[in-house]
Amino acid sequence: MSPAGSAVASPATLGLRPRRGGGWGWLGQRVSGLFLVYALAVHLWAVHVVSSGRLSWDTITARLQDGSAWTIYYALFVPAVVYHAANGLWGIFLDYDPAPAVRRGGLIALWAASLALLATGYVSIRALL
Amino acid sequence: MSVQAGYLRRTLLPLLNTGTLAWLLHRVTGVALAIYLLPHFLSIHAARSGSQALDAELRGFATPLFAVAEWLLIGAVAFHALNGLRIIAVDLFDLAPRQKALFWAVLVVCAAVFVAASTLFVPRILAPVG
Repeated sequence: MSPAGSAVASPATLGLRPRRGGGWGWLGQRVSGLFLVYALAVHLWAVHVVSSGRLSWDTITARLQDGSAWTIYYALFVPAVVYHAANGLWGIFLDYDPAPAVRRGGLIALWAASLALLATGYVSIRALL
Repeated sequence: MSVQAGYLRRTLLPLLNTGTLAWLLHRVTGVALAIYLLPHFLSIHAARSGSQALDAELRGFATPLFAVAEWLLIGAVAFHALNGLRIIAVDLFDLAPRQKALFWAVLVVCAAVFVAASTLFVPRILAPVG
């Protein structure tokens, strides 16, 4: 974690090989993460505080049709959360320095799961809008 | 058992400094939240089958056990979000010398969020809405 403390304990001394530095994945994780801090606060507030104890089709559809920009919100929220999760898991996967074939398999599995989640999220929210 | 516990205490515990603890908690909560996405997306998929299917699905979550799980989920999201902000702040504003103090600040705010959320979830744990 800190360069000075690398002699003590770090992911590296625990047998892991952390990816360091830049790259689009690094930037994407930070940009999507920042957005998710906002989006998840809205999501959890809407679900657990505003609709506390009475979450149902009626309360959800009434909220989504309240004239606010919920369509834009979900169009950003769902891809952001799927991307952030997949990119995060990919980073962890790479820490274990997988063999090329394992690495390719992991990439295919993550893409398949991500596309399935995007499709599921899209059709579910489409039904509520 | 006690020999193993002693071995773990002598070998693993010294490795657990502040940075490693932050890294480990960020990773554990991140993986847990990523896994949680699958059942979460699958359950809201009931919306496709109409209002009755979704309401039946949502009623299934109105149990004390799910209230405990949701409370823990809030804690995991709060930690991952706040520690993520800490990571970004340390990267962007050269705060590496203060990263430990920032980590304890993250834990304090995270605990505050968790305690505040208790007002929502403890009543549901003790007397679930039907």
